[in-house]
Amino acid sequence: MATLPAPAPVQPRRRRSNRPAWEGRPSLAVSLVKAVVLLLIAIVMLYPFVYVIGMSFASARAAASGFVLFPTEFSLDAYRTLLSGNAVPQALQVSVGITLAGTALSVVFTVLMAYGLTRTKDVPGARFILYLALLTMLFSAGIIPNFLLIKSLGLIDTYTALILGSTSGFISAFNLVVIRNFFMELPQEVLDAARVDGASEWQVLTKVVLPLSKAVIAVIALFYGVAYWNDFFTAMIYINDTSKWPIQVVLNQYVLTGTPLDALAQGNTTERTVTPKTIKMAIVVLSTLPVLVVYPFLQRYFTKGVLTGAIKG
Amino acid sequence: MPAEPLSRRQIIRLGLGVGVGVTASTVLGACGGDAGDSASSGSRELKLPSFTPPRELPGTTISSFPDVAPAYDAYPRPPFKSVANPPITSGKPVTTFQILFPAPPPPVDRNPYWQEMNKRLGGELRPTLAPYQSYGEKLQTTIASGDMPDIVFVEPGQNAQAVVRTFKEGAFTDLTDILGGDGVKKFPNLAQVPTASWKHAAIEGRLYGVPKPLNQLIADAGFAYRMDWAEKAGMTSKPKNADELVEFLKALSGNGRWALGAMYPRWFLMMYRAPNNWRLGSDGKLVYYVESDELEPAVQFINKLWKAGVFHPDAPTQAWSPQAEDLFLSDKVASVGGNFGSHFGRRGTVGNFRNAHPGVEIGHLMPMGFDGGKPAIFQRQALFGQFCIPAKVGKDSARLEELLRVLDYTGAPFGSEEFLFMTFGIEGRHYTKDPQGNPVAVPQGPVTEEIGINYFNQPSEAVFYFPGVPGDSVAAQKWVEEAAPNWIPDPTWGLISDTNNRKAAALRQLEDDYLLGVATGRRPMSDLKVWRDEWRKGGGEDIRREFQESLERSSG
Repeated sequence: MATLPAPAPVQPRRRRSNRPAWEGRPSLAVSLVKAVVLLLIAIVMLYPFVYVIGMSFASARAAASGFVLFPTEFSLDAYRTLLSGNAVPQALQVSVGITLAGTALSVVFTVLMAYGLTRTKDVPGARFILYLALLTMLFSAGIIPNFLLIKSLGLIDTYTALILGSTSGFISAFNLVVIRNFFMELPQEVLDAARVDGASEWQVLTKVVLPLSKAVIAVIALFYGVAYWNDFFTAMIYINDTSKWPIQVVLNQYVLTGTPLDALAQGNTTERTVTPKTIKMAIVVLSTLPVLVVYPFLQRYFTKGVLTGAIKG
Repeated sequence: MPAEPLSRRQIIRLGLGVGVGVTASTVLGACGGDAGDSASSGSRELKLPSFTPPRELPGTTISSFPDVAPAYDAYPRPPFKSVANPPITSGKPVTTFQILFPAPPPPVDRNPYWQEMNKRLGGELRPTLAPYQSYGEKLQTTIASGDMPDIVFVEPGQNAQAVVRTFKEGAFTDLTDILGGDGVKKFPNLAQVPTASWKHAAIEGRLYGVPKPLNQLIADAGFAYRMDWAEKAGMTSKPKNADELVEFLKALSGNGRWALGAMYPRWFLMMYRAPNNWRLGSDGKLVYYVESDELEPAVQFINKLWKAGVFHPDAPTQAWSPQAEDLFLSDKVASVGGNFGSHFGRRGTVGNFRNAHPGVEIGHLMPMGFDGGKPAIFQRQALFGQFCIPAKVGKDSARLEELLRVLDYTGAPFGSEEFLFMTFGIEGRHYTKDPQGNPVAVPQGPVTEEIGINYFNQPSEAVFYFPGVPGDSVAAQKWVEEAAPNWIPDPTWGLISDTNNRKAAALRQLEDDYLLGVATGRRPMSDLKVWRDEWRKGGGEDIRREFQESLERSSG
């Protein structure tokens, strides 16, 4: 008598790869969806920039249509109007000077303070000072106490007030924490080795710590630079001499008050060469251009620096 | 109400040589020209400075309405001298705190206008210029520091409401006894400041500063509209009631164009005779316009217009803004509101429109009663800020008098040589003269930036004078004459409420949200009640109580 053949064994299903699903190569459909989403996000983010730049280079006639992305009639009149006056070139010079000087000084003092505060066990009072610094992240003294302090130091109407009285702080507690954490993550053995070799603390800082900290220093320099460049309130409160106003205060005047506009107010001329909108956009471009120019050079440090400074081991 | 104190753009439109009206006397009860004039109508007996009528000049049109200023067609040739000697005699510099509207001026060593100002004043002027948008913070910081300049421009409506309290706390010199009655005659130019300006400058019945006089007609009290579009649409006469207005505005809309570029809510509130912010009832109780019976029908009407498509789609974001003016100048909308001063002259919005559209006639439309009756035109305080002298400085009577002489110079009347300088600058540098002798500003540029320090108490925004456009000054005067019989004041002028100082901005935001929300249909009409409740709970009741108390104090 014949026997029935045994059923074939069931083969288990196998994945094509042993890698997790999210590490696998995405399918064409998924890639397309991702591309479309990223493109839309890029358009949304770039659109305001393109609009502002386009409008700033538009002639009055082109701008009158209300919507200009790529001007049909190109004109530099808005920039000529702004740069031919006294206010904008002077303000740009002030802003550049304050930003460079303020950034340099703030970085130096922040680094020194952060390094000192890494040794809270060895330096008497360091922990207390660290807590005081952190307290400033919670709340500020307020406009009037700060004003009275600056006034009592005799700094009203001085460039020093723009640096020491900066809204984000001459030594920002946030930046201080970022750098301090980074310093504390550095291998202690390297620092100890330097000390054993006879290096002073200053030599340890300058010859060992700082060369290893380029990324995070670039990051806080960028933070400070942007803060000084954008600082409007400090100048508005502490500076009475209009020749010392930085670009943001002048920008405020032009954008919010629409001056010197009404180019129609150009005496007997009947033709508008600029409109309030083109002037405003031009001054927005002038005031954001320096930051946009500098940022790409620091970008490679940015991501690395922020993450390594922010994470406590 | 989009309870607009005078905004910057309303003032800046009035700039060089573009004027609006001033009343030659008060509005409420008092009449000008008598010594020892007092303000009554519920306020303490305030001895107002006596009024000296302005000099009679050729080409002047005197209004038939007693409270409306004369109109001037030309600047007198030659202008008369109103101040015999430079006001500063002590040799000390005069420091000031001033608001800055235009671009910042160059420093004195590079500024011929500033140098000339010093020469004319007989001493050094050292101004601290506060950018318009940040004026409030800077003023409050300066006052809090206790170290104020000699002359301080105080305008609480520019984000500085809290400053009102400082008047009663003794921060500034009380000038009532010095300038009241015939005391002001020691300063002949200040004696020509309209009585209404002094009256509206008073805080709880006392004078603390020299006002910058202003026309009493608020912004958005009238539209300028394109008559070519109206005629093409068959609208040859002005609407007389709400229904006719709907048809009129609909006729101006269509084919990618709209009648109105902004919401202009106050215009419609005036049609429905709503209170000018507050109303003082016969029972002596203050009622806010949000609580009034007139609000709902007014908002319903705006909603009706919204549905009819007469508003530009961007109008809800533009209660009153330069964008609305841009739309008018770009031929997108048929009309423009704004400060009525910008409707006249060579350099206002309408002046610019005429330059670009020669031959196009412009009509003017005031609010009409919704039922064909009279509207309630919102009067405005007859001043934009006042120049105050800190109490510490005012203790020295000789210095006080010197500073008042400075203000007497800067407040020189129309027709004077000093007024020309203060308003237009240096002849040949900042302006030239047309064949009729009227000043013509030079094109905007580095040179015109020099005169940025000139915002003082000169009455440039309180006279009917539009150089280069004959007829506009009389037309503007006629417009104010049309409004004057129907204008109503805000009874809370000159009163103090701490809660209002603190919460006015937040409550105003509430108004923008609800009023425009309901008007555009984003919110249901029933939300007006929600708004009313939120206003009351959010501080409105406290504001009312404090204003009532202040009113009682003012009444003595």
